Amino acid sequence: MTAKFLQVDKITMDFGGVRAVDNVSFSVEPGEIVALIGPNGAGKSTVLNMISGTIPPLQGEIYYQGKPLSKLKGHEYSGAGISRTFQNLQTFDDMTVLENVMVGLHARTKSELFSCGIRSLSARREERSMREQALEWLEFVGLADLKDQLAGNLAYGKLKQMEIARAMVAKPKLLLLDEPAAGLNHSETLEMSKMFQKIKYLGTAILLVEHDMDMIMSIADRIIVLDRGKKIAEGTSSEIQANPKVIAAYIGEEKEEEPIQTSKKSSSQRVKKKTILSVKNIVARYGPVEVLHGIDLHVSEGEIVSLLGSNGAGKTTLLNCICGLHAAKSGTVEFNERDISKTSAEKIVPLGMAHVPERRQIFSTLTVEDNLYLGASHRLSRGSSQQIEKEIKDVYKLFPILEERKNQLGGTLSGGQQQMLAISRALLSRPSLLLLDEPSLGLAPLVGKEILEIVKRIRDEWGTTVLLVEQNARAALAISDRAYVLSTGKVLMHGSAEEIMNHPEIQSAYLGKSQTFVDSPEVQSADQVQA
Amino acid sequence: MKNIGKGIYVYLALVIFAPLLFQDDYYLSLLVITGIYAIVAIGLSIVMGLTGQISIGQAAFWGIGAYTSAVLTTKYEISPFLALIAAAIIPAVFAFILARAIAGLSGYYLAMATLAFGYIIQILISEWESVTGGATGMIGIPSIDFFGESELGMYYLVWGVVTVVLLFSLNLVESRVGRAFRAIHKSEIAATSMGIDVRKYRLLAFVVGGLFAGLSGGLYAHYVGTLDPQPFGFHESIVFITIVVIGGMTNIWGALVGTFVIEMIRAGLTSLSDTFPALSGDVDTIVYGAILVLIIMFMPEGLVPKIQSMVQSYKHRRSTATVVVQKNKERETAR
Amino acid sequence: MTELLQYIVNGLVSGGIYAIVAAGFITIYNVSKVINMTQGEFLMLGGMFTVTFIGAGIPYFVSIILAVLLVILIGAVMQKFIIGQAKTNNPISLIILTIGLSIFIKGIASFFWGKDPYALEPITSNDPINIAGISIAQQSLWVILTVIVILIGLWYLTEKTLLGKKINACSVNQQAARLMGISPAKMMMLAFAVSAGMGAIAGIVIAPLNVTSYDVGTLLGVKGFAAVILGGVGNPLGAIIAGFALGLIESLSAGYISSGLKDAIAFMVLIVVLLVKPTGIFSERSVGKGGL
Repeated sequence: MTAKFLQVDKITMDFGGVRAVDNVSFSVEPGEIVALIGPNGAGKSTVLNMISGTIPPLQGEIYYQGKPLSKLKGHEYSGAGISRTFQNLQTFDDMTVLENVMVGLHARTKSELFSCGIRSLSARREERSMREQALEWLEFVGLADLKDQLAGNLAYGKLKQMEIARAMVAKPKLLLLDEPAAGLNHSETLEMSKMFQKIKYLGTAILLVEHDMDMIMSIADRIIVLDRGKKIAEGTSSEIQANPKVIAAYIGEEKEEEPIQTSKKSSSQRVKKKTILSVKNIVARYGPVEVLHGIDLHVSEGEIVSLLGSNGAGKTTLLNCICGLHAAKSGTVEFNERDISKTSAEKIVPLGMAHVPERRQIFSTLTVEDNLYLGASHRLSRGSSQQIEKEIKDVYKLFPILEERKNQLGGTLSGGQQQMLAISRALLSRPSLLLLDEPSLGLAPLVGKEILEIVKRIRDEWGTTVLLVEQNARAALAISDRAYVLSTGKVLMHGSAEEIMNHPEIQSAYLGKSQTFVDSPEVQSADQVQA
Repeated sequence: MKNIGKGIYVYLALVIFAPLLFQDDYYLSLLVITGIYAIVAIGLSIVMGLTGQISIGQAAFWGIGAYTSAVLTTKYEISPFLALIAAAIIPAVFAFILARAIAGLSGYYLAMATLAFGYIIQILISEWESVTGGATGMIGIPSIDFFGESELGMYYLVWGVVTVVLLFSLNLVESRVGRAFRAIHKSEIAATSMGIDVRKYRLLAFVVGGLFAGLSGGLYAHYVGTLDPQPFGFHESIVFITIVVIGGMTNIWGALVGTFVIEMIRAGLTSLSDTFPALSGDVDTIVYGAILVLIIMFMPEGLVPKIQSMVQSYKHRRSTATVVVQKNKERETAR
Repeated sequence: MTELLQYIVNGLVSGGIYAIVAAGFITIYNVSKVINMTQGEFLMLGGMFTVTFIGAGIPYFVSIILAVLLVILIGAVMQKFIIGQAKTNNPISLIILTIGLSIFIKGIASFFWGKDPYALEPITSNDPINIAGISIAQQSLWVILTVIVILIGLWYLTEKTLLGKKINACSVNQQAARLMGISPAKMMMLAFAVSAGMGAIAGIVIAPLNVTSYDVGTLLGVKGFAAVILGGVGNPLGAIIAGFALGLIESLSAGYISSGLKDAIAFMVLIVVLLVKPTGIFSERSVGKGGL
C-alpha cells in the first residue's frame, strides 16, 4: 500500500465510559474536499480534534504523508502543513485583523526575542514579508480594507473569513475546518463555499465538519457519515442523500414506529384544551450570532408536541429561552397565561415547568436518590417529605432500574439510565409541562425508543404536557400529536404529526438539497418527492 | 520608530526636561523611585498583560537583583555597572528555572507557585545572614557614579534604563514574539495550532520580567544605599500588580502611567500622614486594595486602554459626524 | 521521641487551622470558581472582633458568638455586593480582586485597631497539660477539638443535609441546578457565609496561642491556599489532608532544621509537588459534569 496523504486508521475515543468514536477509518487525498457529517453526538468533532492533535486517540493512529501524527507536538502541526479553524471562534480580539493573520505565519518565521526587541535588520525584513503575505490572504478572503480594525470589532461572519486567512497564510497542505458555516447567513455561506473551491484549486486538501447540508452537498468531493461514533457510509453527495442508512440515522427508520402511531390517534382527538404554553416572536442570539429569528409556537394542555429540525436549527436554544436559561432578545413566553419571558430559570421551576436539558446533565457526583431529592427540592423546603418519598416510589415504578441503583453515584450510570434519572428528576418537581431536549441522544436505538415510549406513558398516566426536541424525527412523530420543524432559526412548517411525517420536504430539512439544484428550489422539491 | 507612535517623542521630551521643572532633590528622588518601579512594572506587564500569566512574586526577582548588586559591590568591590549586569542576569536565571519548573501551570496554580516563590526568596534573604546581613540588612552600598554621584546623574541613568526597557518592550509587542505572547493570552489552543510553542513563550515572558525586575533591583540598591529584606515580599509584589492593573495590563505605556499614579498616591499619603499623625495605619494598603477592587469591577481594561478607546470612539463619532454632514451636503447638491 | 511527638502535636494544631482555611477556600471555590484570598482576613477579623467585644465588657462566649456572626455578615455582604457582581470569570482577575479586598480589609483593620498586637484569654487556663512527657497548652486541645467539630460539621452540612446537596448540585452543574429551582447566587452567598464563619471560629481559637494583630490573616490565608493547591483545587478532603501535612512539615522543619526557614521549607515542598504533579496530589474530582 502506498502512503496516503492523510490516513485515519481505526481510531477510537471514549468519553466518560461512552464510546464517542468507534474504530473509524478513512483517508483524504491531496487537494480533495472531504466532509464529515452525522447527527448530533455522532463524534464528528471528536474525530476532527483527534486529527488536529487536540486529543490523542485512545486507539488507532493517524498517518499524515505516511508518518504517524502522534509523533508531532501540538505546535508542530502548523509547520508540518496542517492548519485549522475552530468551531467557536478562537480569534485574537485585541489584535488587528492583519496581526491575527500574521500570527498564522509563526511557524514559517524565525525572529526571536532579542532581535524582535531591538528591531534588528533581519527582524524588520521578516516583519515586512509577513505583512505582505498576510495582506495577500486578507485580499483573498476579502478583508483587506479592514486590516487595521481590531478583530474584536468585526462582525461574526468576517471573523470566520479572517480565521480562514489566518489558517491559509501558512500555506498548509491540509486544512481542517470545524463547522465553518455555523452562524453564517445564506449569502455568507455561499461566499464561504466559493472560497473553499478556490482553496481546493490552490492544491490544499480540506477536511470539514459541517451541519449545513446544502453547503456540503455542493462542495464536498466525498462525504463520510458518522452515527453514534461509527462510520456508516462514505460516498459522493448524491450517493449519501440516497443512502437508506444515512436517512435512517438522521430521520429514523420507517418501519419500527408503526405500531405506536395507531395508539397515538385516540389521544390526539382527545386534546383540544386550553393553551398551556404560548411563544410569540422569540428572537435569540449567542453573542453576535442571531440563532432564532422570530419563533411562534403554542402547546395545549395534555399534548405532546415535537420540535424537529437539523443540527443548528435552534431547537435547544428555543427550549432554553422557554425555560429561562437563555434570555431571549425579544418576544414573549407565556406559561399558564403568565408572562415568564423575563423570569429566570430557578423561579420558573416552581411554576410547574421542568426542563430535561440536552446531554442529561445529572449531578454525577451525587447518588441517584440525591439527584431525585434535588428535583423535588423546591417543594421539600416547605416540608412534605413523606409525600415526596411516595412520589419517588412512583417514579421508581416508572423506572425500576433506578431503584436498584439508588445509592450509586449518578456518574456511574449508563447513558440510558442517566436519561431516565434526568427525566425522573424533572418529574419530581411535579411539572404540568415537561421540556425534553434530545432524550435519545447518544443512546442505542432500542434504548432511545424505550425512553420515548415512557415519555408517552408519562403524558397518558400523569397527564403531563410534553414539548419534545428530538433528532430522530420518525420516532418523535410517532408519539407526538403535533410538530414544528425548525430550520436555521425559523419555523419551516408545523402541523399534526401525520402531516409532518408525510411532508415531502422533511427529508431535505435534514439532509439538504441536492447540489445540482441549489439555485432552483422548485425543481428541487420535486426531486425530493421522487427520492 | 514608526511602529511605536508619536507618544514616544512626548515621552522623551518629558524625560529630558523634567529635571528642569523639578530642581528640588525631593521631587527628583520621587522621579528616580518612579523610574525604578516602572522598570519592574514594564516587565510585569509583559508577563501578566501580554502573556496572561499571573506573578505574585515579582518583588522576589527585584530583591534578588538588589542583593546581587549590593553583595558584588560591597563584598567583592566590583564596579557597580558590572554588578548591574549581574543583577539583571541572575534573577533572569532564577526566572528561567522557576518558569521551567512551573511552565505547565496556569491560573490559580501559577498564582500559588509564584506566591510561594516570593515567600521563599524573602525568607532566604532574611536567613542567609553571612551574605545578606539577615534582617538587619546591608549598609554602605556604593552609589553609582553616572556623570557625578548626584541625584541628577542617577535620574538620567535610571530613566535612560527605563527608556531602553520601554523601547525594547514596545518593539517586542509589535513583533513576531510579542504577537505570540498575545496569542497565548487570548487562546492557547489557537496559538498552538499556529505553531506557537506555548511553554517556550511563557517561559520567555517570565525571563524578560525577571530580568527587568532584577535590573531595577540593582539600581534600587545603589540608589538607596541600604537594604533589608522587608520591601522584597508579598506587599511589594502586590504594589507591582496594582501598578500594572491600574495602568492597564495589556499596554506597556499602562505600566508607566500606573507607576506614576501609584507613586503620586504614595507621596501624597506620606505627606498627609506627616500632617495628620492619626493616619498611622496602613493607609496605603487601603488605597491599593480599593484601587484593585474598583478597577477589576468597573474598568478591568485599566487606565491607558480605557483612555485610548475613549479617544478612538470620540474620533469615530467625529468622523461619522463629518460623513453624515458630507452626505447631507451631497444630497442637497443632488437636488 | 518525646521531642518528635511534641513537634507532631504542634504541627497538628497549626495544620488543623490550615485545614479549616483550606476547607473554606474549597467551599467557596466549588460553588463559585473563585479563590477567595480574603479567607485569612476572616480569621483575623474573628480574633480581633472578639478581643474588642471582650474589651467592651461583653461576656467571653457572647463576644465569640457576636464576632462570628459579624464575620459571617461581612463574608455574605462581600460576596453579594462585590465578588458576585464582578463581570469576569478570569482566574487572574478574580484573584486580583480578592487580593485587593484582602489588603483593603487589612488596611482598615490597621486603621481601626492600630498595629499593636492584642492578647486574647484562652478558653480554659493557661497552664499546659503534660501527657506522656509532652507539654500541651490547654488551648491547643481546644483548637484540635474545634477543628474536628468544624470539619465534621462541614461534612455533615455538605453530605447529609438538603442545603448541602443544593450547594453540591451548584458546584457539579450550575445549569442543571437552576433547572431544579436552586439559585446559584444564593448558594454562593451561603458558601461565603459558611467559609467566613469557619474562618472566624478558627481565628478565635488560635488567637490565645499567640497574639493577634491586624496582619495575622495574610500568612494564614496563604498557607490555606497552599494547602488547597497541594491537595488539588476542588478536592475538600485532599485540601484538609494537605493542610495537616503543611502544619507537620513546618513544625518538623522548625524543630529539626531552623525555625526561620520553616515557611520557606513548606513552600519549597509545595513547588516540588507542583513540579511532579502540576494539579496537586489528589487533583480535582474528575467525574466530570455529568452527561455523556
